[in-house]
Amino acid sequence: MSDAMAQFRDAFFEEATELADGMEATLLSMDLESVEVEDLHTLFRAAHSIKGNAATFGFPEVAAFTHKLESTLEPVRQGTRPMTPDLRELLLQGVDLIRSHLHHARRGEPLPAKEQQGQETLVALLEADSGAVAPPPPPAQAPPARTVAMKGGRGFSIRFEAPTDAFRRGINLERLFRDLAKLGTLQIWPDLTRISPFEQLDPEDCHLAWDIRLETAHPQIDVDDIFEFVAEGDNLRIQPLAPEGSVPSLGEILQTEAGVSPADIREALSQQKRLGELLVDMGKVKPEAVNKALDQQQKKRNQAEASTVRVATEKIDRLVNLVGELVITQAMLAQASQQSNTMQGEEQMSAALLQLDRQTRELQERVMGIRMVPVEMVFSRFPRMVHELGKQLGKDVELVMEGQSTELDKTFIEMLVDPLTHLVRNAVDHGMEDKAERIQTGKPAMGTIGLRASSRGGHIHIEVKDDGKGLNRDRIYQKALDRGLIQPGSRPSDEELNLLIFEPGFSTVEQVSDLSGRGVGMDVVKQNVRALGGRIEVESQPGRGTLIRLVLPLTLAILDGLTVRVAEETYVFPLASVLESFQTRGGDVQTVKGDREVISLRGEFIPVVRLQRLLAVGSNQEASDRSLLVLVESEGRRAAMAVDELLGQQQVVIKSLETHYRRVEGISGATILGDGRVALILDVPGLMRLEAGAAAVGA
Amino acid sequence: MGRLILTVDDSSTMRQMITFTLKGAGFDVVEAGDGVEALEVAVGKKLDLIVTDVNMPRMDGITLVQRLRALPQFKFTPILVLTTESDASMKMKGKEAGATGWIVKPFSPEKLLDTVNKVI
Repeated sequence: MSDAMAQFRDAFFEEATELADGMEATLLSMDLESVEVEDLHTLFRAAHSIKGNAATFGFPEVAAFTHKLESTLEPVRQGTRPMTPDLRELLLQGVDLIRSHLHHARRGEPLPAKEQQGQETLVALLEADSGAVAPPPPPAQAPPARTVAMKGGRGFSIRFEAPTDAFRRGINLERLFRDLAKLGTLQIWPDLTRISPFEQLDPEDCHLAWDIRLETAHPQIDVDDIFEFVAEGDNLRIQPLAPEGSVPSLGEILQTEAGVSPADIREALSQQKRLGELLVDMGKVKPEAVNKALDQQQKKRNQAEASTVRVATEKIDRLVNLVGELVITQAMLAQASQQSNTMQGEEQMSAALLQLDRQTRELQERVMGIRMVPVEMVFSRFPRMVHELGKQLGKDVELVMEGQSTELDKTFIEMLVDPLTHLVRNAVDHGMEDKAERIQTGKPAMGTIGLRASSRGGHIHIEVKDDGKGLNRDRIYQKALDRGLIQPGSRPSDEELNLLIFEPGFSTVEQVSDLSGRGVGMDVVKQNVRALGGRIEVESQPGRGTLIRLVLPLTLAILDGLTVRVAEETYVFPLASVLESFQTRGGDVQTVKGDREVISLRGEFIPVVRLQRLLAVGSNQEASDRSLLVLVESEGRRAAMAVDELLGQQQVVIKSLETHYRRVEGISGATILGDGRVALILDVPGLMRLEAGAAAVGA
Repeated sequence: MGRLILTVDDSSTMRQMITFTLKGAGFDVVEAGDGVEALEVAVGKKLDLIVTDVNMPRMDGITLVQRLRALPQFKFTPILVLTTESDASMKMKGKEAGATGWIVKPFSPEKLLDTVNKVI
């Protein structure tokens, strides 16, 4: 396949996936009581486009299946077939199958047998469900190939099944072959297997099919054009022949040299077994091992696929412009440096430097912006999920989404998929009461799940909200006691209790359901959010519902930092975890239990951490009357870190320490300062753990 | 040559353009202003192709195609419909009715001849 073709195929897959997503969204948002005709048209158009494009780009299976959906939709949009809840379910399944088709087609593999069966069942259901309605009308014409002028290759291998009504529509098939022959050298194998037995034969029906090999330098649109009036999506498959110079397949040689028909080759190939099956048959490997290996292969593929990002062209255009501006600035600087001893040169120099500063900042922002994608990419899966869950659990649930266009770093999006899925599931499964219970307590039977993303002062908030029964804090307290997470007699705040649901293995549900309640997952939420440098907040009111808020930094790559000096070294505190900094006066810091220091701040005792000692730099700071303390907070715990000097606030670009060195407890990364020196970025929770460990050893 | 084509359109300008183009390519042409007139003109003639507009008074093009296909004489005669919409629905209606193909307006004389040559 030529590069150009491959490019079109990528575009096809992206467009088709978007169309499928659109179909799903339309299906879900549809009010079955009063269906908007426009929605039906939208559905139809989407199916139609996928079908047409799939056929054009050589994915006949995708086209064939989408065609079935399209035929199902046609009477619906004509108003002769009602849109029932059942039909909606079937169509949703259809959308899933389209996705699966696309997924496999993209890898050049056939649809797995299991899904193939699923598809057959679905198609049967779709057709059966149509009931007494007249036979579906002939399918729409596949649109002629888009105006893309594809470069001609060696030619095409074509499978063409004439439409049944070809004769009745006055189609001149002979003409068609004559036109094809004008394009190049033709080789034709008629396929008569589709002709009905004589007694059922309607002489006016056309049951002819051909396998055609056309050697031509003409582009595919010329071939498409010939078939314009007879292509119906699944009855025409045009595939480019392997490019010149590549080794032809055995089948291809046998076709050209020995006249073996493509139909026979297809049949022979379908009998071939795959490597896994053969090995299993030989008794060399267990089926489970093959499946596991296939899974592994799949994972690698997914990873490879996920590592690309789609960027709006305008973003790139702006970057190109900026680089152009930078070149000009550089020229200005070069010129200014030549006359740097003159007054004018100096002025020019400082003007250019100012410009460079502005451009660098913008360049940084824009480059970071490339990594930003709308949170919609995660949100879009939830309408479907909530719909399914509600059905499964017998609950009426409505999903309200807000702020889908909020942009997040692509890495975040990927790492948020699992946590959000879990939170939403949990909200429907546990947060939401049964219908009966809701009615009893005077709530509307329909529950509402809110999913909201917003950008707030350097942070992104993602909220999952339900209007269910709220957290049962008594039970959480009891459970936490049982598990030894809290000390008997202690009185944790509501906020602290709420956060306990994110502890590993913590579930207060007596009846574990299939979906959630195993206590697995909520801790994953915490882990992932923490890995992203974010935090979780929980608000819950008994009887009113629960709100879980993920507070995330805008991007992983840049951090607002407070730079400090400890002995001779510079360190960076993430500004997000810094509450305040202050100088102590005599007597503020008290020593308890021999060597542990605390400071009393507005009635609260906060441990003091001497960074010189903890990080083992410089000569130990001694408790002096005047210490400079930075008050930090992480996961609800506070500590006052003693430093030697506050240097300033600045944005720093995070470099991973692990990639370049190894993991160091208490340090989350490194950055390069303006003067070229390296500063380490402090990991506040890590430091607290270090300190706790040191104290335990010391005690 | 001497092949005979019937062109049906309520717009005389359009009819003239089509007739001019087809005659220039060596076809013989007869004209009709709507479906009803087309049926009157067609019956008894041996037509090689019918090119019809869709939206016409008295009888539209789709109905005309259906009526023609119901006549044994025109059961297998190529019929092209002129559609203004580029969307699938009108093509599909034409196909359902039995039309051989379609030409989307606006079209050039070359496009008309190309398409005509494709079906006869």
